Amino acid sequence: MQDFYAEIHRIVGELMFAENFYVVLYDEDRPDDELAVRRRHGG
Amino acid sequence: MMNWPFGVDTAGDTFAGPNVWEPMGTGESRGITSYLLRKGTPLLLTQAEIDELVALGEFSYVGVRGVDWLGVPLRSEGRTVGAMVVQSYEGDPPHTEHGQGPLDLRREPRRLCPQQGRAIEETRQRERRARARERRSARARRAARHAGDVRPGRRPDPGDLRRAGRGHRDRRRIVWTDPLPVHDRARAFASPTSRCRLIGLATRRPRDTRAGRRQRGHRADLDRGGPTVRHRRRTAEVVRLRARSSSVTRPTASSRCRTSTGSTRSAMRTCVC
Repeated sequence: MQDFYAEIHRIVGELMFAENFYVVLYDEDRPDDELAVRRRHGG
Repeated sequence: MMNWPFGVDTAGDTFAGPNVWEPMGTGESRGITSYLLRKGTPLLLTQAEIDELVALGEFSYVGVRGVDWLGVPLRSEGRTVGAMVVQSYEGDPPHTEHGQGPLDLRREPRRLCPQQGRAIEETRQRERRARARERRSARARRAARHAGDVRPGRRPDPGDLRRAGRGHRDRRRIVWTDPLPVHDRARAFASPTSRCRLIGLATRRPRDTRAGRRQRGHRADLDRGGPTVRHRRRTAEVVRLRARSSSVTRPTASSRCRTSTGSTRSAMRTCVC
């Protein structure tokens, strides 16, 4: 997935000044953050 | 909830990382990006405009203050699912509304979306897995092909032999068979490694076809009454050579291995290690 974002960054960088670039994901329905973190760490 | 899966920043601003989701209005999620996500429309802001919006309480400063900020929401199925942002920290603001490609503010809808990225990544993973499977099966095929081809001084691997259906472990010995052309007589009667001993050689029976029967010297009258003992011996369906003690038997060219009709095409070598 990181390769994909890096590729997007490369493409955007060809088209405009994009030395500072980031991608944000937004999920308004995502459950409680702590729960999500615990799940990711298998707790 | 917001998540920063990717970020590059020359001013040294850091990003929470792909595994961290922050609730809206906390930490990094208080900044301009959250404002863009709330609005759901592309935004190009200069420093003055940013200051104004901060003064209005729309969002807070997070990280390093830049001279301009350009963000486009990523939309999927009618919802905002993320954003892509470029910004600059010094000099004349380089970004205009007439950008190109994915960050062109005039272009709508945004064709890039995380789902596409995920789909691409999943496809790549599937391909990688398929290639790995292919490599594994190629290795297995190679191992099967060479399972009986024992290199000198090396014991055959019982696992390889078992997988290839060409041998097994019998108490402490490894017994394996090795299909090879019988005309390669030197090889047929040589022990494959110094640590192994040839205990038998079985000729393969020609296939039970008309040609095979002719090759094996079948005759119709014999077929009717069934093969006689003499006939079976003559066709030498299986000839087993007993090796004397530990030395390898090396029959001559007139070996008992050859069938009376000279028709045998291949033999199975049986060895123990």
